[in-house]
Amino acid sequence: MRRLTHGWAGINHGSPHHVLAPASVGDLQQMLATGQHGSLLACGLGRSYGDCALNGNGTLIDCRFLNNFLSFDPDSGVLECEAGVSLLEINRLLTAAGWMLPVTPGTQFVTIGGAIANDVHGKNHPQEGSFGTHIIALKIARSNGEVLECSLENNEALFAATIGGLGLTGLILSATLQLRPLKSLSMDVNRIPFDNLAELFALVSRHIDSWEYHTAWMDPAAGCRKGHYILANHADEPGNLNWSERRSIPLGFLAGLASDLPGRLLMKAANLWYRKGVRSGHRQGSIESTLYPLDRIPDWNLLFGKPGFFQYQCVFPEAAAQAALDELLKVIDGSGQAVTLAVGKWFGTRSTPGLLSFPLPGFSIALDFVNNGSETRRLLDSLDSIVGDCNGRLYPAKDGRMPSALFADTYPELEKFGQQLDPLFISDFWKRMEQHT
Amino acid sequence: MKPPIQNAMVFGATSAIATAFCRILARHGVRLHLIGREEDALRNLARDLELRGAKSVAISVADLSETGSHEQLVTECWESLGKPGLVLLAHGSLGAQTACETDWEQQRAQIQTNLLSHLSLLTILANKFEHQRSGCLAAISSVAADRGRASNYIYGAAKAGLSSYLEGLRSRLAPAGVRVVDLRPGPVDTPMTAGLPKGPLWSNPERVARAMYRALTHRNGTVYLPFYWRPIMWLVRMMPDVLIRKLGI
Repeated sequence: MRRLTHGWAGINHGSPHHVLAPASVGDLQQMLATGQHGSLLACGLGRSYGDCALNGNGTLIDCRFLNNFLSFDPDSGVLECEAGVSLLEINRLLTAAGWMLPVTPGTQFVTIGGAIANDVHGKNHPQEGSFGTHIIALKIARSNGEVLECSLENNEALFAATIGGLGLTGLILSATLQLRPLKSLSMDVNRIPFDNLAELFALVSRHIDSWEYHTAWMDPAAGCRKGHYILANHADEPGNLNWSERRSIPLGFLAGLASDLPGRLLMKAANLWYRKGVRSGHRQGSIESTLYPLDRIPDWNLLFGKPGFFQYQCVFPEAAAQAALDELLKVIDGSGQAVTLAVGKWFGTRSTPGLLSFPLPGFSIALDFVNNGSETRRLLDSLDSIVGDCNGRLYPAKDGRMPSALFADTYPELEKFGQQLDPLFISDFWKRMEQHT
Repeated sequence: MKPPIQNAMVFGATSAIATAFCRILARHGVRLHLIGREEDALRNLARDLELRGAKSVAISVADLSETGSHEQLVTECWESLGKPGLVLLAHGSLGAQTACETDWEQQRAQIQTNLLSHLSLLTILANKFEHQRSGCLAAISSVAADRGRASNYIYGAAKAGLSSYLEGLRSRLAPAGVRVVDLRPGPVDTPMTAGLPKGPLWSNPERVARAMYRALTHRNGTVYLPFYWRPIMWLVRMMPDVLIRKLGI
């Protein structure tokens, strides 16, 4: 199955030698107790873009069926659930009780385990921090059969290593997390056009405190220097809290498509829609259309076929951000490589316990590139030096190619993290990084 | 409006399809009694279902291949639940066909789990339902029941036996107003099928469970899950042996 053998972007692949799909925690412990599975790695819904969730020739543990809700306190909003529960399930069930996840990435098709292992962030990082900021406790199974509970007070080193730990510290069985109260599923959305980067950064500093969610859609046709700055807040007025069942567009039949043309066309259409079809100014939106616009097309990556695509997501520290972004876009302009989508986000100072967490206070850009093989790779290599020079970093969840030296240089807690590794857990990403760690 | 199913007993509740089905029942505020082999897994599932809205969830731990305990088990559940509107038999195992081919004991264990334990439960349940004169008795068979195949005829034989039994039982219980539903899912992406390569006709537990819920609230007879397996299996049944062998199906 593609989910187990390919990264989401379709560039990285590695077939596992063996797949375990435990139906319960007891089942998993029995499987691990045989000790015959070689290297191990947990996987979920397959949304990591590169090779973070692949374990070529090793054993993958498919955690989708460890998906029970264990407890929920409707007064405090504290939820405990197994690691295979998806963000979609949590939102669907608990918004009705007036609670929602405080941090979500751009898709709900992510498991809790995956969200923790990649310490994912959302468009509201300045206010809420990353996913790990809201984790109260974790239960982790190690390959030696131990099950450890950890939190900020208990086994805190393992806790810090597991948040953003790319699944390398053992298997996350369950998590306890703090939800946020919610009054309505609708959102106030505001779009402000900008004509250059200076204008964008000025807008952000003016609005950063009064709005919760911030993104920039950057128009590839204008060298990503123009676009819309999109702000959103949850509606203040009490309103509807029940999700309506929306039909998704099934694309599963496209698996194995030879060309990436449909994907390029979809992105062209999306950019055109943003450029011409969407009016600027205030409007009402729903959580689904504002925070998870692509979830209507769950298998959209299949549109990029066998060639796949590259996504390059980096973060620049605040002081250097505008200059570094300008330089980055200049290099891309000069390269002749096509950007299909560019989205900017801001990260604030709220900290996370995670040792390998990606966010730094500053600006983050995610750029999708058409896969032109070595030409595209050469461009990305040259972008790496801009990121490294300004003390930025790349996001492992999106990466399938970063040089291990860059990783070692830009993640200062790597050594501390190394002490918490589980000896049997490894991913294809880590195999690439290992020479420098 | 009252929900069409108000209380249900589910054997093999921790199997992925049964779990997904129980979650739909929970959303409709059903009272549930779950039977399974692993206590911790049942307990976690019960917590999950209560959180999703089930009116009450009771559990019984039992190894269902031991038929001797069935009478007492069913009586206990029956009493705790009151008149059950639905009983679902969902336990089973896929087994390793190649190992079974050369090992009679393994083969017998598989027939025990997939067929005999079902028949034992159905015997007891049929009498209770006949007496109760209402409700729905359902078991998960398989499209593998429709035609013996080289790659899984032992599993298929057990399911075919189960399906024949259900067919007869349906006629017997019809005058009593009891429905007997034979659920035949195609291949589904679950822990049971983790080792198998997946194709475009594969389904997932949630989709199968939704179709099951629709069927079990009002239908009687054989239900293919998802629906497209009915025409496919009709074709497969029509195929001459020679063609089956040639295609290697």
